[in-house]
Amino acid sequence: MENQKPKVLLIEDDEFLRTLVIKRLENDGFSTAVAIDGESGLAAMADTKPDLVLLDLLLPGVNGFEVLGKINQNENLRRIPVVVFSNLGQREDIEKALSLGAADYLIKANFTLDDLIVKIKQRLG
Amino acid sequence: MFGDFPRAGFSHWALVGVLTFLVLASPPVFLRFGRGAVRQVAPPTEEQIENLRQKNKELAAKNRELEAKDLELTLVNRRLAELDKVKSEFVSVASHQLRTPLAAVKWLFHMMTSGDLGSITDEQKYFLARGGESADRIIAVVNNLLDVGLAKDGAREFKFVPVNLNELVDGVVFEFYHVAKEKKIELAAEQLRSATPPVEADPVRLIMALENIVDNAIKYTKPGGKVTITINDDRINSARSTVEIVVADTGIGIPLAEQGRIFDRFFRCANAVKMVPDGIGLGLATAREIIIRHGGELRFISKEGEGTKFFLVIPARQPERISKID
Repeated sequence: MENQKPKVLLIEDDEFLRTLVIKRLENDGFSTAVAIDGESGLAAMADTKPDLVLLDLLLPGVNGFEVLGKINQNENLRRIPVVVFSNLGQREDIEKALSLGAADYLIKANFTLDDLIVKIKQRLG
Repeated sequence: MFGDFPRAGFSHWALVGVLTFLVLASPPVFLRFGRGAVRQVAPPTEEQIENLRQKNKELAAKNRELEAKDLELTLVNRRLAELDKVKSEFVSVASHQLRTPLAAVKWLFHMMTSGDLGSITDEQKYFLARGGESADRIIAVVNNLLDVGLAKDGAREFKFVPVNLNELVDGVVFEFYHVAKEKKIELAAEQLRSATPPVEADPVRLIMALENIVDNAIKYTKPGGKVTITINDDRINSARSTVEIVVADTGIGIPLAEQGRIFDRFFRCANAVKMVPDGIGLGLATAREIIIRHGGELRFISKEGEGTKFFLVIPARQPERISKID
């Protein structure tokens, strides 16, 4: 039953990181969607209606903070939890992301993908 | 109306004369107010005028000098603000640039180790796990370097909020539970007897400082040893209200000859290097920086071969000036 799998949208510009995360998510039974920049990420969010979004912050064009801002302004998108998954790790970055409505903030290098899966599962109940 | 005047009884004309006299005699009347008043009124001599002109000129010159200094300071200040911004950006970019490939390497090792990318032999698994550990170590080094940058950032970067130390210590114990257990070290926190009011601290930084100390305590204690964290609030009601977090271990201790240098960046004691070859010597420097920024002090007592006790002493309240800057 494909449509019963929880769907995760990954917005990430690094091709290799993207491949690894998608592989891991699919191994764990998630259905996935990807976007490689902020603009297509927002479009994919509206199109695919994911259960959760993993959002990188440094993206070409519209960056992750702007994506959060736009999600926040949109009635429909705002309901979807967005977990920031970035290597920016300064306090200002974390606070800014959380104040823009991010559900959680994970620093990539400090987490294994196993940890990520645990976090996602917790988030989705 | 002239009752007070000795010549009040004179004729009208005489009275006019007296008035005239009074006007003419004005300066002597001032004598009653003292000599100083006379001097002020007396016309200045040429010499005095010249002197004043000179002083005026000097003042004007000093003024110009001050204005120049003011401008100079403004420019220096602006330059410092710019440098601060550049540094902050550097830390931000460096963290991102360094961590991104490291994250990829780390994930790859972990995925391969746990068979996510296909089954592997036990031998392959062993080596891949080692690779994963190496990646973790590099990441720890990068994080540590960046933490030092963060700890050194301006006062505005520290955010002081009420912090429950019991909870903070519990969190750190939880963090190290597995590490300690794996190394067969007893790690315990002794809770405060009574409820202590929260202290004003930057929780993220304080946790970082405490973790560095506890990490060392576990690292430099042999299996079977003990690490104890105690909160001491005996001095909370004294004039300079402080609270202490004490981390005591039964580890290798700090050689007396090297005790003066342990807070130097990149310094590592000989016995520490022998026990853990690949540390970088930033943990204590960072911890100390953080405690100092809280207005506290990081002290220790240690005996080589017997153990070390670190005292993280922090004031219960932050002075206004610090909490207001933001």
